[in-house]
Amino acid sequence: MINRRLLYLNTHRLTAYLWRAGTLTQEATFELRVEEHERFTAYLRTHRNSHFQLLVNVSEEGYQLESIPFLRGADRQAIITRKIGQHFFGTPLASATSLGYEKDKRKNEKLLLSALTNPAHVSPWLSCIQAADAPLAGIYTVAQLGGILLQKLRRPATRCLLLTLQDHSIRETYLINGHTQFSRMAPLTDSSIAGIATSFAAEAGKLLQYLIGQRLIGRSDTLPVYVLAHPQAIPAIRSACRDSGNLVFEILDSHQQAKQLALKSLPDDSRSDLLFLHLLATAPPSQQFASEDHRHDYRISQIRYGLIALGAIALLGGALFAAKDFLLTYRLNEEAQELIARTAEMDFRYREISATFPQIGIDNDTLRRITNRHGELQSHQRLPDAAYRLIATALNQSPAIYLESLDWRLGEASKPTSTSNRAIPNLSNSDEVITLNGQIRLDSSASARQTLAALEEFVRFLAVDRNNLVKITKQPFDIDSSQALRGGDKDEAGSQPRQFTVQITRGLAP
Amino acid sequence: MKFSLRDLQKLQWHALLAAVLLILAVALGLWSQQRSKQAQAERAVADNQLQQIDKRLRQVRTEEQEIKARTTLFQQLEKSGITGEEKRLEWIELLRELQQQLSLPGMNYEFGPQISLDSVAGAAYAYHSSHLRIQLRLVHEEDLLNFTQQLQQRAKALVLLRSCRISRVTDATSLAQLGADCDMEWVTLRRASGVKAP
Repeated sequence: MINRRLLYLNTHRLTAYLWRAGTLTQEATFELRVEEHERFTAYLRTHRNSHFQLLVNVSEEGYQLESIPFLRGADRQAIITRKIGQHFFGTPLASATSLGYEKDKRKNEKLLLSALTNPAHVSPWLSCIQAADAPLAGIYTVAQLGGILLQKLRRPATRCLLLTLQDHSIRETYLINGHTQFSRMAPLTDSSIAGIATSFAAEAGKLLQYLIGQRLIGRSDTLPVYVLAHPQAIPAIRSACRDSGNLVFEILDSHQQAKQLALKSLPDDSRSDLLFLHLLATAPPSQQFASEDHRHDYRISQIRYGLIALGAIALLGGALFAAKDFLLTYRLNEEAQELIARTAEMDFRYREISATFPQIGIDNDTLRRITNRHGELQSHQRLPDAAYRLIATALNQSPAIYLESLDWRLGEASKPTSTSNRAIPNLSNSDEVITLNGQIRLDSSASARQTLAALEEFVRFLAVDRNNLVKITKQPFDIDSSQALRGGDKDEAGSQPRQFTVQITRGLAP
Repeated sequence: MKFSLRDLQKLQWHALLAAVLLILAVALGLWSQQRSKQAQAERAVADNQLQQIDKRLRQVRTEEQEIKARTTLFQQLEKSGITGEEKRLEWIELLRELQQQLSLPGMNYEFGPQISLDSVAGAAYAYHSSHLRIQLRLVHEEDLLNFTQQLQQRAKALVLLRSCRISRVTDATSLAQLGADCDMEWVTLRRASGVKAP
């Protein structure tokens, strides 16, 4: 939190206040002497991390209404600077307040130019501020705060006078729509309650005459006059300030108004310094008198706090992001713990069920794989008995067929030539292949046609099962057109047994 | 506003503090994000484990009878001697016993080296096979059927007959009428080396 310190400069001295949560604490007073400047510089250096605002209440103020063409940006600023130079030559402490635009075609902008016309009164203090590198937020006048005060106190008069007491003088401010049009300071000769009351009444009349004389108001216009005073002084002021034809007085209780403004340090007398200082701390005017050179350290301070704020925001953002992640992590951990608990419970149930099984020392997946593979291997465990029975039946029905050899094998796998070096055997064959080698023995008078017919009949007996595929791989006679066919007197048909080969393929259901 | 070197000196510690705060913020964010990702991974692992055990539990419930039947079969395999190391001594004793029992006039055999039938990496058990080439002298072809049938029933292995060739014997001095030349695979189930029992 940035400490805010308010510097109040009047014609006699400069007073420093610490403002904190509506409480104003006077910290130091510096008289208008050269030797006090060092003390002021030391004070500023002590509080160099604070932001300072300077409120000036002097009589050397100037106000000037101006009208400039409708401009924006640098052009507008240039013409304002020129106008200020024309009206308030020689002072850098000037400001311009826009009062709106004229409603004609040219839309000229109305400006209130104001300045502290005696910069020598402020300059030594500004030098101290610059020497101490103290951040000065701005220079303001009491007159600037009049409109804000009435706005805060909900006194929205179009035109009005505000009379307040500061130090030993009365501040008279003429306002239109909350904007100060004119302000002046009248010295107070009698500081008693009666004297103050009389001065308020007298100064109100004088200011009215001045405004009429300046044609700022009409002679018959009624002007509300707000007078800010201590509760004890109100009866005296009320009796002194009677409503006249043009002036309608309203006496404002400074204590009540301070409470309304949330100022906790109530004024001890009719002076309004504390109210204006509090207003300066809580609602500073948008315009001020300090140049950018005077505010250089204030900008530096703003950058400093901006950097810290940036870091703090980043840290806060990181913390929020981390908090979100931590929340997510916590939730995920909770879920994981719940899942682990459920897993443990299911694992326990699984073990309970598994415990009812015979204990064989292997897991179910391995058991399943082993037994499946066993079933698969067992399906290939065959004997040639069925094939032998088929062939025996066919042989019984074919007496001319004489069997020489019988080769049974599963599938087309060839026999390994050696048992010592071999590959993984293919055990997936599902067909039986039987190769028969034999002879046909008929009477010597049997013709070749009869020999072939005997073989055909034998083959027919073998093919009695539809699953059997019977193929003659070697005929007893080479009657194939692609082969040479020889014969003669010595090789009469049926004179000797004829060789043949038959292959049977039996499809076996798994 | 113009900056001078002195202004930068005034700002240096605040800039450093802001940088430290920024680094802290980023570090905090990254750290929390990493923790969050780790938690997500742990949750995913826990969820995966739950899915697996849930699947196994449902499977074991529905396949309770099947598992019991498979367990019984495995126990039968153990009892019949198919599991474990090959018992070649018992095998050759069985061959001799069958030859004598069936009065086979002659028998020659050769067992090949054992090889693995399965190539399942990391599997606890694997089937292995030893090739047998056997030559028999037979009085009758039924001797061959009886011999192979007895082998399949009594051998401490799963005996798979692959081929058999029967041919007539021309030697008149021998009792044998037929000669048989057969190939078989003697399959056993063995625990893989280096894999411990669960």
